[in-house]
Amino acid sequence: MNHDDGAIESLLGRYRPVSPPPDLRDRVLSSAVQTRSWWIAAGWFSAAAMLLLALGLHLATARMMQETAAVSGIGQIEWTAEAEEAAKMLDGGGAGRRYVSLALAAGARRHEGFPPVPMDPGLFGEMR
Amino acid sequence: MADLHGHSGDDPPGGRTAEHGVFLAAAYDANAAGLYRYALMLLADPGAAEDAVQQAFVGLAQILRRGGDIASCESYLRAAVRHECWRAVRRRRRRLANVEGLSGSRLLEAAGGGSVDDDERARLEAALRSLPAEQREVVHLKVYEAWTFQQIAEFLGMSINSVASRYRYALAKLRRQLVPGHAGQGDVHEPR
Repeated sequence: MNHDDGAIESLLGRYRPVSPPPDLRDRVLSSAVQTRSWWIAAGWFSAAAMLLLALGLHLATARMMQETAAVSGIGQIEWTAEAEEAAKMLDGGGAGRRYVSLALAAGARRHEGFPPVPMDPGLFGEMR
Repeated sequence: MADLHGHSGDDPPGGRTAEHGVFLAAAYDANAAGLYRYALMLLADPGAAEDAVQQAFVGLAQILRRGGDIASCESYLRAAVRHECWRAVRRRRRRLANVEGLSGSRLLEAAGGGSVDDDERARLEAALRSLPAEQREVVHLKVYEAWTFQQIAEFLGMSINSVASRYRYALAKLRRQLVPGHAGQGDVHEPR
């Protein structure tokens, strides 16, 4: 370290980097707290969204099963996604649903040892 | 180290979520001014320095929430601010190709409340801005934090000789710009 370096160091020493602005403290501390609140809120929001989705799907499925049972005149059957797909492939309307419902009901009755469901001759009029 | 509501700002509370806010405030009061000055000298940009300090404290808050273990809050914050500063420097270098030569915002104030020669301050700021960030960092730690070359070398993960060389190059460059008659003298290749 020579004399010139000492002069430069002395010059530097007469100054110092400026202080942080006064509002930085509030900004830093609030951002730390906000981040925490945001993560908590995001967790609750995700949980609530999943709950709503599950409830909506449940209600839609229940309603679909009730409608299917009502139009086919049979008791409760398990209306699955495959059944819905089959109904759509048939005609996408009430007749396809009725047909699939009856098929499911007949299968269930056979499985339980009951005779086949009597068929209404006018039931599939819409499919013709 | 400041003491606020029983917190020194350097002993993280273990799992006491309700006290994190108080701890962060104490840690800010104890460390923020020095961290900001360090970031400002390294970045030569007040806005970027504020962002670096803010990110360091956000990181500290996240660690506290997870119940993480920090041996020293001061050391953690220093390393975190340095990490954020160098991320910012790398971003600027990619964007601008040359981070040096930023101008405009004020970097220096009078030490100890003394009077300020505005011309001298402006020339010194311009000279500091012309240094690579690597040299400004060493100058800051040596002059304004009064660290030894050994401490700087340990913090930066460099050899003492490299740190001392970096410091001497920085002073030589400042001297060439600030002292009349030194312009062009002793020009050497200056590594960062």
